[in-house]
Amino acid sequence: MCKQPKIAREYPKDLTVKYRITLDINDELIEIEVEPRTTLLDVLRNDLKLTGTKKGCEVGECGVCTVLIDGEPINSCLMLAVEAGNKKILTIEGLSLDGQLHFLQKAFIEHGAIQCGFCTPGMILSAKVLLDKNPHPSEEEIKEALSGVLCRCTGYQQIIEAVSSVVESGSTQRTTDQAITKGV
Amino acid sequence: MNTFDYLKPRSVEETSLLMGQHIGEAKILAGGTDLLIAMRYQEISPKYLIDIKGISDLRYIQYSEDEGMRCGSLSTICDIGDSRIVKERFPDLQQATLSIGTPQIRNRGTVGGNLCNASPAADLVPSLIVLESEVTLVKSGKTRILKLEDFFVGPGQTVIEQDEILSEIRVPVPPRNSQGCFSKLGRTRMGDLSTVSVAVRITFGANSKCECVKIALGAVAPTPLRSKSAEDFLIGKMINDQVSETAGRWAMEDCQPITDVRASRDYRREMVKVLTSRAVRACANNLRLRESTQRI
Repeated sequence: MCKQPKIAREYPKDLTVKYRITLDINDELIEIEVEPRTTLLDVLRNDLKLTGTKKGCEVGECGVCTVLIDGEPINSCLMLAVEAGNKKILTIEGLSLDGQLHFLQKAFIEHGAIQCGFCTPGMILSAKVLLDKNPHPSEEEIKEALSGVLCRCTGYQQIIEAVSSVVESGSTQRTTDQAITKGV
Repeated sequence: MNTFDYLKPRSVEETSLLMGQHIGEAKILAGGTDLLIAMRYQEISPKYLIDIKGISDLRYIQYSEDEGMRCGSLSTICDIGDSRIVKERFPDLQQATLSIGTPQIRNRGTVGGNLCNASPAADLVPSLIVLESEVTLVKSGKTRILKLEDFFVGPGQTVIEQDEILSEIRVPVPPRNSQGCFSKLGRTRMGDLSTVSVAVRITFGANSKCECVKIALGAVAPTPLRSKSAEDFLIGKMINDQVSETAGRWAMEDCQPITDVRASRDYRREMVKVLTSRAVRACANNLRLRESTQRI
């Protein structure tokens, strides 16, 4: 006897309700209609074409989907878009200012901290949060701050060096100034 | 994940009403760090998702000398870990928060969610149990308060009713000569679920003898488990290497681990012994440190 296929929950067509939400992304207000089950990650990538934020494990373990919500790092794969209204969202696209790369982005390039680049947005945003709160972190504090993003290419060493170099060169004041300008 | 209706009540009463109207079909959304994964893998498919983050007065951490610490259930893991109250009064609880997941998870996961999700490996639970915490469950005007260790009945199962929500966790002020330690073993230093976790709280009497002992084990039984044998053994004793070693052996006898993807049963039993004896020794060392500091 052949196995019967699993019957999907049947919904009347009009139950797939969409919600109109306003998202504050990289200082821009965007109105969009979403199903409640759509994650913030999917809205960023599929609807808004902000593909800097990556889709990896979708279970909150790899961190490549990291965005900043009100200045804190969050896995956007574990946040529904409908939960993200009334919050300041920063993605990697929002980090450079007037076409100029952020100090952290430059440091990552200079230190060979980017190979495939998949973890880079998550790493840079996590480092930005750290430096916004603690301009002079120890290496241990850097590692802790980055512990939410996995890298399969670099072995982490160059990433840690890139973040350390920004600390040593005293560039963190620019980081704070940029944060004030962006209001996150 | 399957589609659902998204509701965002503004009060506990409204939440309770909605839960009551949709019994068996609704799930509460707080941080979502466990719920959304279960929904994505279609382990559960609620028709209604009730986002309680719109309730403004469930996220707080307060302290008073007579009642201890009161945490609203929507306090995030980060809220608790960063709290000055927790750092000063409950350092073992702070150790537990820092052991959970990643910064990203800690910014979303809530203490209420950690308890109600009721994983046998829930990392806040062993420390909260040895600190003799209580939980407040509310629904439509009715409130009940339970000891946290009576809250869990099985993996993922608690005594909470379908229209109740957990609103607050209260942690009483520990006795003066009380020391606590939390220890977690995972496959990685950060970010992993517990293979084994141990929380110990010891109140010391005259001559540094154990007057009151609470030991809770995580990830080695269907629910977080008190090790009564190890506790009874330690009463009246002064802690040295041999005593803490033996306490570890008693804890090993009490635990009931399984073999799963993270570790074998036998390894978990062995690690319960090691972590318990280390945590007991750490409590004694902290006491000595505190006493020598006070003398200066």
